[in-house]
Formats: sequence, C-alpha cells, structure tokens
Amino acid sequence: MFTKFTRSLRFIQAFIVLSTLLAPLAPLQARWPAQQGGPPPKEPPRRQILPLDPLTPGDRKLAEQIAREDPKVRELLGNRSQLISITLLFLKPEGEQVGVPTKPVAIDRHAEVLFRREGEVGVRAVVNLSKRSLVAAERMASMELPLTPEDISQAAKLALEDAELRKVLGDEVKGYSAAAESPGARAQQFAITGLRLFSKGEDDPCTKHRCVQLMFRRGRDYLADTTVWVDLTERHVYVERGKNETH
Amino acid sequence: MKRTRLLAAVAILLSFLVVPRLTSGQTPPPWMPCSGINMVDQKFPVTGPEETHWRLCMEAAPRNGLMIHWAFFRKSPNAPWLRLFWDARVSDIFVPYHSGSPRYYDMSSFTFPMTPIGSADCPAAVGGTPLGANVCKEVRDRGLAWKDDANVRRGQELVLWGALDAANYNYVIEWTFRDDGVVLGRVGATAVNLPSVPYETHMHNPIWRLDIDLNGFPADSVSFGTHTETGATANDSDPVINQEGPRDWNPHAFNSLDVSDATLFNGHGHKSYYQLIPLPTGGLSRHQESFTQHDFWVTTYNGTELWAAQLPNYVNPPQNAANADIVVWYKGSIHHHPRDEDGEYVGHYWHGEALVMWTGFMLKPHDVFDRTPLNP
Repeated sequence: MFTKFTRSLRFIQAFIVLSTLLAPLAPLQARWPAQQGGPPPKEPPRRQILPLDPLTPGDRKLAEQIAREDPKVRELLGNRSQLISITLLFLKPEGEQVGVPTKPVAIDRHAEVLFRREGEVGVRAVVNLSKRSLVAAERMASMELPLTPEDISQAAKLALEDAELRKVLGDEVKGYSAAAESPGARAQQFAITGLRLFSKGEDDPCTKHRCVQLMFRRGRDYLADTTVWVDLTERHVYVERGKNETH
Repeated sequence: MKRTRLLAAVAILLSFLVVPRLTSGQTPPPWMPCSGINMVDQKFPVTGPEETHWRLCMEAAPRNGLMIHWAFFRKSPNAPWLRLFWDARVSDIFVPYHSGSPRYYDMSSFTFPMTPIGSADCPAAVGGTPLGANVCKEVRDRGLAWKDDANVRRGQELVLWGALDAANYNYVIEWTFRDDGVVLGRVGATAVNLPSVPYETHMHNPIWRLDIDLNGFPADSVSFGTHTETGATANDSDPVINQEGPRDWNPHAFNSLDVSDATLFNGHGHKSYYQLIPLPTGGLSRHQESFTQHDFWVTTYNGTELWAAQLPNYVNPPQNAANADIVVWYKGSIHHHPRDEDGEYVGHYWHGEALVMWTGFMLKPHDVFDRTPLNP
C-alpha cells in the first residue's frame, strides 16, 4: 500500500515538473497558427449558413421569387420586366446592439433585387431571405439602374450589324464579340466593352434612353478614331468617325 | 499501478491544453459572420509575441469590388477587441470629362466584375497571398514606425486589394490595416484612357461610405476637427455635428471627421476616437452634381442607403446625428491630365497603359491606446 502511495507521489512530482517545463511553451501553442498570419486553421464542416456567405443559386432564385410574388412589387413592375441583379445586403439586426460578440449573432440574410420595367424605369426590392419576406420595394429612376452584361452584348450585336462600322473594322469584324459576360475577357484577342452614357441635353436621346458607348479592343489596343454608341431603347447605332486628337 | 500512470498521463496532457489558456490571458476573438478566405486574421508583429491584432471580414463582388464587413482591432493581447467597421466600401466612382460629356458613374451604372489576381499581381516574395480569384493579401514591412536617434522601430501592415474591370479602366481598391491601428483606404485608376478621347482631361472621384461602429451601433458621434490661426497663436476646435449633412475640407484648417462613442474611453479616461483624414493627391474636385459639392457627408445608418449620388436626398430632411448610429462619407479625386506616358496612337488604335494614380484617406486612432504603441 505504502509502495503504491510513494509511486503515485513520484508521478505527481513528475507531473508538476513537466507542467512547469511545458508552461512557457503554452503561449506558442495557444497562438499558433491563426496569429502567425498563416492560413486559417481548417474549420469543421459548416452546419449553419453564415450571414456573409455568398448568395447561392438557390438564394437568388428564392430572392427573385419572393420579390415577384409580392403584390406591391407586382404592381410596380407592370406587365413586362427584366431581372437586372441580385446582391447580398448585410443589414444590421433590429433591436440588437452587436458590440463584440463572442457567440453567433442572429443576423438575417437580405438581398437587393433590381428589375427593369417598361419605360426605362426600375424597381428595387429588398428581400429578407431568412424570413422569406419582402422588406421594401420602390421605383427607381433609369439612371440608378446598372447596365447588365446582356445590355453590352445586345449593344455589341446591334453595332456589328452597322454597315459603317463594318467598313471601319474591315475583316476583323468577324473576330469581335462582347467581353461583358466573361470576366477574364482581357485574354480575348477581339473584345467589345461598354460604358453607360448619360446626357443632360434636352435634345439628346440619352437623356431619357438607355445608351451605351462601345469600345473595340484588339489585343491590348483600342480603336481610337471612331466613336460608337448605341441607343438601346430605340435600338439605334451611331458611328462617328474622327481624326486622332492631339494634345 | 497502471491506473495511476494513466491518470498522471491524462493530467499532464490536460495541463498542456488548459494551462496555456489560463496563462496567455488573451481576450477571446469575436465571433465573425464570415469564414474561409473571407475571414482575415492578422496579428502584429508577424513573428514573435503579439502586440496588436486585426480581425475582419472581406467580400469581393462585382459592382462595388472589395468591401470590408466587420473589422475588429485589439491594441494589446489583454485588451478588449474594439469594433471599428460594420461596413466599409467604395460607394461609387464618378468620372466627368472636361468637355462636359461623358459623365460616368463607374460603380452604380454597371455591374463590372473584378479582375483575376495571379502570382504576378500578388507574389509570395513580397508577402503576397491570393485570397480566392480576385483579392491579394499582402503582409509587409511599412517602413519606420518611429525613430529616436539610435532607437528605432519599423512597422508592419496588412493590405487587401482587388481591381474592378471597368471596361477600358481598372480601379484598384485597396484597404490597409496597420500595426498601429491606422486604416488606409485608397483607389487607384489605371489601364487604358478612354479610346475615343484619350487626351481629354477628366476626373476619377471615388466616394467612400464608412459605417463606423465604435463599441457597437448606437451612441456614436462625429465631430468636425478644425485648426484656426489667430496672429501668432492657433486653436483647435472639435464641435459635434448634430445633424446629418455635408462638410468641406480646408487644407489650411486640417479638417477631419472625428468619430467617437459615448462609452469608449482609454485607460486615462480620455475619450477615444478615430479621425477621418483626407489624403488627397493634388486636390479635391467640385462638379455641377450636388453630391460632389462637398468632401465629407455624415448620415445616420440606413442599410439600403448605399449610393453616393443620392447623398443630398439621404440628408433631406436632416436627422439627428449626435449619439446615433452614423455613417461617414468621403470623396477623393484623381485629376487625370493625359500625358504621353499614358500611351500613343498606333494607326487607328490607341496603345499604352496609364500608370496607377492614387487617392485616399486615413482613419487614425486618437486616445485609443494608453501609451505609444509598438514602443517598449
């Protein structure tokens, strides 16, 4: 019995000595690896969607569906409408004062859904994806509505059918296509990009219409002596040939 | 005997796991609403014991590019974490040309994608790590933090950047989080001049929307820091901005927007605040559009008020902005006067790239620390 006790005592002594030896290493163990600036530690499989997780195709579908089914949005949209964009909105939870949370905070996931309707006006709907409900809906001016890659593609298609532009581009016209739908488009040899044009002149169609200025890139160079803009509302192409400006 | 040995072994193992938590004494990190590459955690200095620490969420998306959601700073391992941002983003980039037209809104008018980021953009040799396909994280030396004769300390910083592919232009959106608690926001314009008028001067005006939440949403106030000279003496004032509205920056008055929280003081009992200080390159523009008539705007929080061109509407009628949940806005400017260094005509085509032109701001802690940071 006594021998057993002394042996146990030896182990307890060994434990104390080892603990003393290991304690100085403790901070290293506690801080590694996240605080070393290296890659974050592997996380266990996610069970719950986090508020800032990117929208999934399912989220997008749900956001559009919630918006379109709401009577107020339906009234604002009228008969014909086109979906423009769906983006994640990171809104503060109401009634909760999040300082430095140590536990997960319930933050509803929201999405902003933009539509274009007839007459070049838009509708913005804010959807609560967590509660599957519409938060707000309002009409937007045409100017507030972003162009879409499809708008650029449509403008490019119209422009490439223009006889004057075809003459300018010559044989190369066959190589050109819209770059807007491909983020890595700079690798394309011939690509068409575009910018939204606004005008404040009363006689200028782009004061009220959706207009795009197109740019034609060959390799890393841009066609510079010809200005091309497209009135998407009227489906009209304007080609203006000029001399290279100087400075 | 075997049982005793086993018990002792378990006790040793437990000591290795539990004791560190007790001895390190670090405040636990905040829960974050993001994960994976979107969660960025960086302690400083990069090697050796921690002095300061940043923890934040980033989002790379078309249209607004690289955004910061939630950012926490810890001024020492034992100090509480301080929330700085709920959301920080470039709201829009307004680009008017000198002839009066075109006048582009490079974020709100389009859903431009972000450019790819590769090893040439973000080399490991300079501390770069690509985060996904569109963002580069650089952790690097930032030069002198302080120097006092032979005593010296170099600083370090975490830089996150990505670029928006805005047709012929690229906009580099950069966020820097320094070891001394400073945050820098910059936008750089680069790539190809507008091909139809490559020599026409124009402006690139990025407008930042900064939802600063010191110590949580409520009870924040913004003061307007102003330096005044009278004869040989000078005076600094910092009156609270009581209502939503704009303010103008005067370089002779060293104006700043100073954001504080009613509950946030440092160890000396001094009110802590973050100063929004413009870092213009050359100047700050004014255009006919009313939102460009001022450099700063203060609004109360509305999660769907995100577009700078709407600022005059957001503050009409003006709401109370003192002891409130506030958002501050700042407009920077790049005056792009084309030069031969931008490129040249080659036949009917324009060839060449405009080198990166920057503008930005600094968010500087004031009475957040109790003593000189990064100083033994």
